Amino acid sequence: MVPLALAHLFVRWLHVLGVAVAVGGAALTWAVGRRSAPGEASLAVATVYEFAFWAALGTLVMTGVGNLGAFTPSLPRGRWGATLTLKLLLVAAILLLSAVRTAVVVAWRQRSAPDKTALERGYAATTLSLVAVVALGEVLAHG
Amino acid sequence: MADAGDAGAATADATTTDPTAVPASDPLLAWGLASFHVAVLVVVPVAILHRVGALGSLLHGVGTGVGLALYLLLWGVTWATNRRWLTEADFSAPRPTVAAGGKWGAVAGLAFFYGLLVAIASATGDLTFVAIFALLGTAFSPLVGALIGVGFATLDLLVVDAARRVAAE
Repeated sequence: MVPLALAHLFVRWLHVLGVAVAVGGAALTWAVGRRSAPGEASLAVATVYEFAFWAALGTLVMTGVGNLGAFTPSLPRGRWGATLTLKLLLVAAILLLSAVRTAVVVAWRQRSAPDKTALERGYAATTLSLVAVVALGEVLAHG
Repeated sequence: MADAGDAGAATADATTTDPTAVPASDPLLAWGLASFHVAVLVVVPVAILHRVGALGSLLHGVGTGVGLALYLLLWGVTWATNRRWLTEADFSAPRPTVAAGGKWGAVAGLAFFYGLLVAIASATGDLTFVAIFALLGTAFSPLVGALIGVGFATLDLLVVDAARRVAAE
């Protein structure tokens, strides 16, 4: 039987790993899109990132709910509660817009040529919105 | 309703003639949409439960290990059924695509319910309760799954349409 404290530590480690992959990968893909000519190289990086992004986001949602369990049985209300609501709404918006972004990459894979401006904007928006989610997470964890 | 072969051929035809098409057979699309569905299925109810003040007590009743296992089960079931749905999907024909979403949603609902049943049976050990829960769940979980499947198939069609517009720019 795994001790409870070790299980919580593992869940938090997975959460931080998910954040690193999602934010770091988006920033890297944004940088590659900015610096390289539009072509198969930037599309290959975007494709790898899309697979990793959904693995990371799925892990973040799973472990995020697990982290909330540390506050049970009664979650704080007031300002903390409002911040959590804002974070959940932002995550829902990122999920929806990321589904569109992934489908755009799938369409680009069909013709092997991404649109440089759309690629840059898509991954810039992903990076910045994920950084905003991290900031809200910091507020929830440390006030 | 067109069968899977016809739908697949139609999709293939669409992708060869339209450079902005989103091919349903792409494994990235199956992985992305499945992960999107599972995350939405968790984030939206968590937000609603939090707003009504019921989240804390619910989370308190679900252990970390059980919660992670159920999430991974839902993720796996959704990925497998999404792949099957996408082999039948034709994004230029919304009605049969949404109907197929309902069918595979029902399969996902039933599969997830049986996983949930195993978790509940191992936690309670009350065979009478488990038997009644199994009967009710077997009847209702495909219906719930079908409704969710129809909803997500409709949402996915909107996502793919938006992606086509971006890819066309």
